[in-house]
Amino acid sequence: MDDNQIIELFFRRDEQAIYETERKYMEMCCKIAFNILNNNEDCNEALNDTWLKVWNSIPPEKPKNLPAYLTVIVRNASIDKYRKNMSIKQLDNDMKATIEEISDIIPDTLSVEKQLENKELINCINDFIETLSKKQRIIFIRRYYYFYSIRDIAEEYGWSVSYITVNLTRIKRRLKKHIEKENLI
Amino acid sequence: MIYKNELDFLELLSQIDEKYICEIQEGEQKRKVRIPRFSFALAAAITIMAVLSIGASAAIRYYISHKDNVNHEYHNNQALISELDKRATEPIVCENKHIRMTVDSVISDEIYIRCTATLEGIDNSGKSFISDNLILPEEVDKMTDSEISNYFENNDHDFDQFIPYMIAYSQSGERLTGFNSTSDNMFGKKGDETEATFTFGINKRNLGNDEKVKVECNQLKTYFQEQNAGIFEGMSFELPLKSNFDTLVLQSENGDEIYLSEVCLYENRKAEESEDFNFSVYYNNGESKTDILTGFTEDSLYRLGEVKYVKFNGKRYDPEELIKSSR
Repeated sequence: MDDNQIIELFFRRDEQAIYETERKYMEMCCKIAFNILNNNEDCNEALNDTWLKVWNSIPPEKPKNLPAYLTVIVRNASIDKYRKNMSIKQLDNDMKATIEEISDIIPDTLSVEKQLENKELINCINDFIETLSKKQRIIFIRRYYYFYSIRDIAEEYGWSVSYITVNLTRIKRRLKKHIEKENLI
Repeated sequence: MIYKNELDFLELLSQIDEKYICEIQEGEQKRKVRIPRFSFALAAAITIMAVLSIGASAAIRYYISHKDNVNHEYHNNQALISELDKRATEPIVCENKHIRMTVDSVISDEIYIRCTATLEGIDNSGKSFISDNLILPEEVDKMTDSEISNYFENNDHDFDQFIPYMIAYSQSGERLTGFNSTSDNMFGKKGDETEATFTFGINKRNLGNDEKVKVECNQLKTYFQEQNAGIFEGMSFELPLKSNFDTLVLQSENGDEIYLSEVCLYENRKAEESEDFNFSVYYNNGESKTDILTGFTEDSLYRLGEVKYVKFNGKRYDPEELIKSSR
């Protein structure tokens, strides 16, 4: 079933929409949730939250690109779950490594929370991504949007781990400078 | 809360322009022909310049050169190494006064050529080039992502500027597209910093009817900054395109094709399908072999001459042609 037909089912409030979405995009969503949560039980909860949120948001929303829309919802649901878990248990997984990498990007004096509501920071990041080469964009998005490990990216694209690591290091440095330059701190 | 800023930042990234997400997804769909990944390792032995002269006199028996390095690149995959040894021909060697490159092994099927090579320093410049620019320690396969990141953070090299950059040219001198020119990591050898090994590959799908390609060795940094080959000045060799591993073409009822070589599976399906990876080969004698798609078969090579059919994601594919091989 193509994505337009699935969205039509959502608009008709036909529960088959959820079944078709799961059937087509479960693997992609599961991969993102698992990359963040690294735990089957939490992953299932995040996926259930995802399907519910999609059901409640379409309509009125009508995504132009269903899988891209799903990635946003599943990553937010999973990050949310991760936040909750952080307050009650010790976490030690790949996500922690990703978070530590992110701390290299954020200037010390930047409060991201203050930027969540306005568009300046995300516009600045979008402008930065636009300056990257296609390969660098893939590395950046795979690592920090899809939460792939460096080894996963190497496996997926046939690039060497060193190539990816070196590029990530450079991208992080450049992004930090870019944010500082934009004076958002 | 610790990491609050970092999690907020990751959450903020959900708002990045959708076109970047779509770009990744489009890429996934286009990668229909799956070239097996060989990030750290894969490659193997072949024959290359030398044609064994089998005449009245006895044929010369060749063995893999620098076998330790080939073993390292292929993660000690003994099934593969053993076949490479059996099919080995005279290794290609090229050198200048600084450095020697030996192509120790070549795996060449209908789709791809993968080579492993060893670099040895001849004079002080060559030795320094290798010892100064080893990319990764030999035990890298056992390192975690964060250990690898730390290794890079704590080693102040501009790593990828030094690796060999291999460029292929057709017989008419045209620079080939689709050549996986940037070589893979350079690994050091324990106790010997004047020798290093690396891999490179060529996608054969973009080649015409040439029987061989010319491969030019360059130093990545000098190639791009000064338009010269740097330490590899004057080094090139001819790489025959003839396959030394068989490939079988299989077709499903709807016309989808897959290519099964003795060592790898490549898919080329027309229809959009899920990205499941269920793959099994069924042989005439009733035996079957289930494998993962990425990388090389681990335990034994596929016995192409005995394949009855294969099943890939539940769909049956029957041999469409006789084995394509030029061995």
